[in-house]
Amino acid sequence: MMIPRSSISLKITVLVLCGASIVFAMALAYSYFYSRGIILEEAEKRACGLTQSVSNKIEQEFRAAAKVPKVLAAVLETSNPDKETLVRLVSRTVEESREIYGSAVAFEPHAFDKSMLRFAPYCFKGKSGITYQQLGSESYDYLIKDWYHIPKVLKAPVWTDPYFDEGGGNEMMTTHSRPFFERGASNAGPKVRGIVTADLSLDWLTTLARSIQVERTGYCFICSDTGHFVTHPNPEFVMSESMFSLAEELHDPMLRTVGLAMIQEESGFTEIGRAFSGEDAFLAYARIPSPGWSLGAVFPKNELLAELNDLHKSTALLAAGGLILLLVVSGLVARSIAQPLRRMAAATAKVAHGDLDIDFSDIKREDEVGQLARSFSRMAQDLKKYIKDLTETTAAKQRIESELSIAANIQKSMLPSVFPAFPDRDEFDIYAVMHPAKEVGGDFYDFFFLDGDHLCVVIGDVSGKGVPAALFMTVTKYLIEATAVVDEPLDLILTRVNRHLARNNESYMFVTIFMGVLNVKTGEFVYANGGHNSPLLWDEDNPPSFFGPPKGPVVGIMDDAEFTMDRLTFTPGTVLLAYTDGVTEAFSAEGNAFSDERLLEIVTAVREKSVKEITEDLLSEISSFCVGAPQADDITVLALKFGTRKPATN
Amino acid sequence: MQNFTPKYICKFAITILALLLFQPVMCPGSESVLKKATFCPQWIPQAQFAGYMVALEKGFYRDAGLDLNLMVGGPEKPAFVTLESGEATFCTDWLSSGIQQRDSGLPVVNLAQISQRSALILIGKKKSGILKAQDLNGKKIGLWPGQFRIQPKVFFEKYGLQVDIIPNYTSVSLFLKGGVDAMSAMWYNEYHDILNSGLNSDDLTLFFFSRLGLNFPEDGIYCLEKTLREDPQLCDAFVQASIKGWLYAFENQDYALDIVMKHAKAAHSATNKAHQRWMLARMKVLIIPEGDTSGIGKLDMADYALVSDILRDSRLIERVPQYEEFYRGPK
Repeated sequence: MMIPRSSISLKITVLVLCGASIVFAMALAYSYFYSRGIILEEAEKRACGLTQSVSNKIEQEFRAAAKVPKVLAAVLETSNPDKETLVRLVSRTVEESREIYGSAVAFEPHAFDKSMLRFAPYCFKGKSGITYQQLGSESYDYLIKDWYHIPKVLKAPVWTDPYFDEGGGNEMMTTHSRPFFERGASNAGPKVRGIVTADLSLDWLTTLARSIQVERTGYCFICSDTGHFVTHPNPEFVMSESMFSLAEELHDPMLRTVGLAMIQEESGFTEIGRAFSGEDAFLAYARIPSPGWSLGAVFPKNELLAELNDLHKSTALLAAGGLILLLVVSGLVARSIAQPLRRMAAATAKVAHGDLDIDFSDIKREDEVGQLARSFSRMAQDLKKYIKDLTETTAAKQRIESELSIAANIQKSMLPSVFPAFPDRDEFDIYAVMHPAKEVGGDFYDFFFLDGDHLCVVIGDVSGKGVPAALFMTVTKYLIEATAVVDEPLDLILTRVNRHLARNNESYMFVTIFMGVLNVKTGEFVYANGGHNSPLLWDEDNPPSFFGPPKGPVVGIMDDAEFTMDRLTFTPGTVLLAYTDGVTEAFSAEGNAFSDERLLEIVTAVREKSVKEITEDLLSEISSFCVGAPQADDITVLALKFGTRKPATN
Repeated sequence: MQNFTPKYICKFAITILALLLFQPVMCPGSESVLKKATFCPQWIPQAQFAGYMVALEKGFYRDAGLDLNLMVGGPEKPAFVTLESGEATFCTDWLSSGIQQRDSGLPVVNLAQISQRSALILIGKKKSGILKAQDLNGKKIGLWPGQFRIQPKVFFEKYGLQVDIIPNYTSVSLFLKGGVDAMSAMWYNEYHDILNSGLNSDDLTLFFFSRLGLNFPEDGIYCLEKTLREDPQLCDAFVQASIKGWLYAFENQDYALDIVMKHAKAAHSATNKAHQRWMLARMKVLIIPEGDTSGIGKLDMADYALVSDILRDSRLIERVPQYEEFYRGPK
């Protein structure tokens, strides 16, 4: 199944993984730096221990070598040996000392023998045993050599810079030179009489430095008090390069700083970057106090931190494994949430298309998702039931509607609806319309001849609307039709109709009725009113007005109600307009009633027209007045004009 | 395109024939016409002599018709001694030495004054309280012997300084180990040695004699008057090729340094490239101070007068040699 890019499961998985990755990374970083600190501290201790112990060992050799000149100087300051004794003394000393290669006693000009400018017996371990040599000569002026000159100026013992002894064993040497003084102090302090030296071959130093194992590929080197290399795995560096010249050539100012620290400090441990030995490394150094030299040990960083890197490799692997596991788990969790949701989303689409056969019974979970699935199922079932009910209801309604429409047709057919109603009579004109508010209505009108001259006109309005009103109206209409006969006074007709209707009227419906009988020959108009609105009446001389005979009680409530009858005479052109309260109480969208005044106004405006036109105009005025508002009540208008009927204008 | 007419082929053949006939003349590199000469620099192989080494390596001397032998100089080979003995045809040394030699009877001629400025300096330790010239008063100052003391002594006299002069010889150890408070040094050599022995330039106060009214031009090329008289072309060719070597060295410092290191190594001199790089850069400033190569090898008359007057006043010479007799200059 395709998982959409914005799916919940993807989001959950990604969020969980991101969160977990950040946490892992932070934990890893913290543990890395923390353990790095610990491991570095350990490494520093180890490295410093190593350099310290090696430098101590070297220092012992230097001290042992320094003892030789010290003893010789003491002898020379306390006694005055002759040449042979002196040479034997020096020779013996060299022979007995394990450490030193050679020794010299060099005198100030004329100091040993006034006749000799230079005198410096020198004994060294030659190939054939102890060899004696006189140092002072024209070609070798020891007086200007550092080993002689510097301790003389300083009046203190010094170790010289290492040098290659090209004359001797072609070995690297350093010389310890110690001044000895004339007996008896002068004013200017002790006067130097000469210098005693002990040569220390440095081959053992190179061997020693080379033999020290520093991690796997690290190494030791020794630099002098000026930073020059005394030993170094690269023989090119020895005595040629210094820490400072390397720093300059490699453009590495840090190396110069390290070099300064090496020649100034007792010991230390520092990072020296990659320039010095080609890879990132740490340097531990310790001072060799006698010559002031420094022993350095280069620890390749990756070897020093090998444990740490191993640890972190495995930690990182674990973290990666954990992340993968988390990916799987969070994927599963997210899937278990998202899959039912996706099913429900699909089901919703089905529901939208009307398919309500939804089954989530396989989702047996107690969590929110389960609840949602159950609610969803229930909703679908409810919907299904509702739709079934609705379908049935709709069918029933349609049936009722069709029945109602039939009823409406029947009702319509009950009212005279063919105009002109009496094409063969020209004494009057009549027009009537009934618009029920619902399919069928409670309003009705009727007109019929009682005999050849008497036209009976009825308009009625049953209380209420719809089917009950229609039924009541039907009864009323036929009661009136059956009851009305010539010469029967209208008040009695109404009284009789009333009595019939009131009897067994359990629903307490009633009807207002205005009925009149027009003698089309004479214009005499007899009428009675059972609670109905006053009709309008006008003729050529009088404008339309409500004519107000007594209204009388409504019909159908009280069986003993009394009605009165009245009469007036129509002149030709007299128009009677009867209507139901659906006209005056028609409401506009704003809630205003059509009102008697408006009715009067409109009728006055169209009074000259034919009855049909008056009626149609009035209805169209009402419908335009009521635009936007539902028709609240049945509307019925009946217009009767006495006099010669004119053909309709349209 | 040219047609290969008989006339053209004929011309071509004659040209080839001429080339074959005159070949020895056309190729000055051939051994038979090279003049042998020996050159002795006044000190051990280092970038102070890079120009000569490069000229040799690049074949500039050969191109100039010289079969040059470059000697290894040093304290055991005083340059003017090799000139006098005939071991060397040419040598370099300080102007003051050249004047002294001529005054003392060795008829040397300055063929070119290569170095225009004095590189001799005094280096004082700030730790010893030396910040300005007056601070040197009463201090122990390590001075090299001989010609190296001329300027310092005039300087001390000029500033009325009473100093304790301690002889200093070949190394900077006496200074580093605290035997003296200040020492004479070459700007291009010992100063850098000190810097590369663990002292920072901030720790030091430098006194340049070239800025103290005592600008003694130093390295110049010398030969005996006799050599110049007998073969002036040889002398001029040597000077020209040497100057060409210097200019090439300044333009191609890495190449020059490789050559210098090669010579230093051959002479078992313990040095390093950083040091020689420094030295070569300083030499450029000393030889072409304003970066103007047109004056290279010239001896300024005023400089000559200053040096020789001080030498006479210091009674190191009796008479000032004639400038015109003493100096020839590059041709």
